[in-house]
Amino acid sequence: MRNNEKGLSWKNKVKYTAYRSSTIVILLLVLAFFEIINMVRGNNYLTMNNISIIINQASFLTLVGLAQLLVVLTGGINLAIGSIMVLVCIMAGQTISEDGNVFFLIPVMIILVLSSAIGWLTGAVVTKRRIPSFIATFAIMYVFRGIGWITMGRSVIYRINPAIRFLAGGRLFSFAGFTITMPVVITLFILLVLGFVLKKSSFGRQLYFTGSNGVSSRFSGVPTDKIVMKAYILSGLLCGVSAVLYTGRLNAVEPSMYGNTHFDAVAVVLIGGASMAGGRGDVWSTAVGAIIITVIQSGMNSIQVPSEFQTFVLGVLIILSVILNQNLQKKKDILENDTKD
Amino acid sequence: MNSRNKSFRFSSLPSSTYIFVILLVLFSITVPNFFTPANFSTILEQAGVLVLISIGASFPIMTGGIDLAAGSVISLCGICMGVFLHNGIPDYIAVIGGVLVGTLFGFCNGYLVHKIKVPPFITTFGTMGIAESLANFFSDSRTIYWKENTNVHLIRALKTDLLEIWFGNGNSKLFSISGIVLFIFLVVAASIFIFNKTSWKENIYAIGHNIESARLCGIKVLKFSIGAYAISGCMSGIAAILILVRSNCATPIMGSGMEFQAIVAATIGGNVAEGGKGSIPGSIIGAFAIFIIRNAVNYLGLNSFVSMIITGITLLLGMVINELIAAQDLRKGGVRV
Repeated sequence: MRNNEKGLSWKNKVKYTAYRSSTIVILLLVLAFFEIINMVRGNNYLTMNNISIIINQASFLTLVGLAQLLVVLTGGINLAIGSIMVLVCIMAGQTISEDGNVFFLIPVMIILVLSSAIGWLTGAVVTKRRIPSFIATFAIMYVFRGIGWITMGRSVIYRINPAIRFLAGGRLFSFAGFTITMPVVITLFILLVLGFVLKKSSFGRQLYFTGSNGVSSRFSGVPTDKIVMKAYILSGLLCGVSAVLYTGRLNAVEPSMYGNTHFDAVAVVLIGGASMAGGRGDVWSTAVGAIIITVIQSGMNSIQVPSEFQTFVLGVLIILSVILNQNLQKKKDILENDTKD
Repeated sequence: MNSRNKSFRFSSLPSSTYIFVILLVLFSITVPNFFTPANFSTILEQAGVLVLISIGASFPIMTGGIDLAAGSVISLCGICMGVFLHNGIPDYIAVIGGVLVGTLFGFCNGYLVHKIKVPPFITTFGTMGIAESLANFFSDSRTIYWKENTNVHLIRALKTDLLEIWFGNGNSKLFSISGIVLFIFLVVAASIFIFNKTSWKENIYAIGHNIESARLCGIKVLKFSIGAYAISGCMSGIAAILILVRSNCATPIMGSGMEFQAIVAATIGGNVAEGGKGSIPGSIIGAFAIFIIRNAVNYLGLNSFVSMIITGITLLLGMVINELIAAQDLRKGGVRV
């Protein structure tokens, strides 16, 4: 992809970079929008403190977005994210609470192992039985949430282990009002690892290939079922990580939590420029997508949009940003093809 | 195609038939009071909402898209009708107005998906939020009631029992057909007729298989693909009427979550997400299959979460059965439609 830049004039090079990083362009537009409205009202929106809050909140959303991205890259969708997150916490039970009095790594390991196992189960249903992932993960969502409700009833696990709470909200150091927190570090670490795996490892390349054209990749010797399976297991693992962080942040486990998380995750991934058809999208754009949604939400709070209208604005902005993203991508493709000729 | 083929093939039935029959037999044996005329009239009346939106959901699915906004559009239409009725507008105008709002919303979805080329998932996800917040705005996030006066003839007519058949003594032996059931029957018959007997079926299948080749074949792609979403919106509007008639009030969350049940019903009915195949009767039977689970769990007095688990397992089983039957048929030399 880099090679295509060579034949471009200086002006086209700038254009090409802008098209390539279309999600960042959208982020800047959204930031400018809220900053201008706030400036007119005499407030300052882009303070260091506010930016660090936004990044901290977006790091949670990024994690579920990444869990969704792995499945979206295979051309599927994972609707079970929220219910997996709840179920693994419920199964870890009292060990995650303060009263359980166990070393925090034990519940964390339980959650991660269980969620990977659930991811494996989802992958098995999708690959072995050839059930479309929309239906398979939807059914799994129903079953898991039902199990969660039956085991927990109306009870709530609260007062989570302080070590887990530190993972979800611990402040490491602050610099000129900008605070770096534990979830930001964890998410950044996962972004780096996953970005490397997807871009450089053979698994990552095969995953993109499988997603963009399953049949042709199968015929060129890619073990597509295994690749899809691995993607679902990784997705489950990321659900486990987000379960630990979300639970630590909320300081409680309750069976009705995370009811819309799978939707948030899909929105993050699609704003990040991924395609539901599979094979398109990357981790950093997903992170930017999460930041965009967080900026929209916090921006609407800062200009005091009534809560009924927040879903309205969010819906409009999501559609608009996807339209813009598509146009920029299309222009990028045109520019690429021009240089080839 | 089936009329020419005299020999009976299992695959010529809508694929949701098997899971429906299995569930029906299972519940009739295990659940007391399930296999009674009174319960069947209840099922016919209450499953109507799900049946109608499943029909609506199958149209976008057959074109290769999806309509996630259906549930919120039900709320929006219901709130519009409720506001009209609250202000004393005659009910037939209110009802038509509500259905028009739904159709218009569906049309906007279709326009965004097929004219501006936004992916259907993100379009309807966005418009879902829009419809939800409009419903909250019009109703002020409250339940809307209306006065029982001369303006609500139609609603009263839909509530009356048209036909009562006694199969013996006792309340459970009464099979009754109310105005709602007749209304549902008419809508279902009309939609099956329009889909099967006009050019809709072939055109929608062609669009679902390959929209580009359909356009090159001279099919008016925009008319049918936008029309599919408009039908989905229209069906949501009609479903809102049924909820209004039954509950006598309109709430801004009356349709939330319905879209998923409808999509599930359509999918076990053989409407696959890739588009290009599927049937309306399949969706209808799928909707009944999902509804009788809820009904039976209620009769057993179990927690409603049990019905979630059973629905999930049924869904997986249904997909496996569909796959097995298709494979069986392929082995016998049948054509996979």
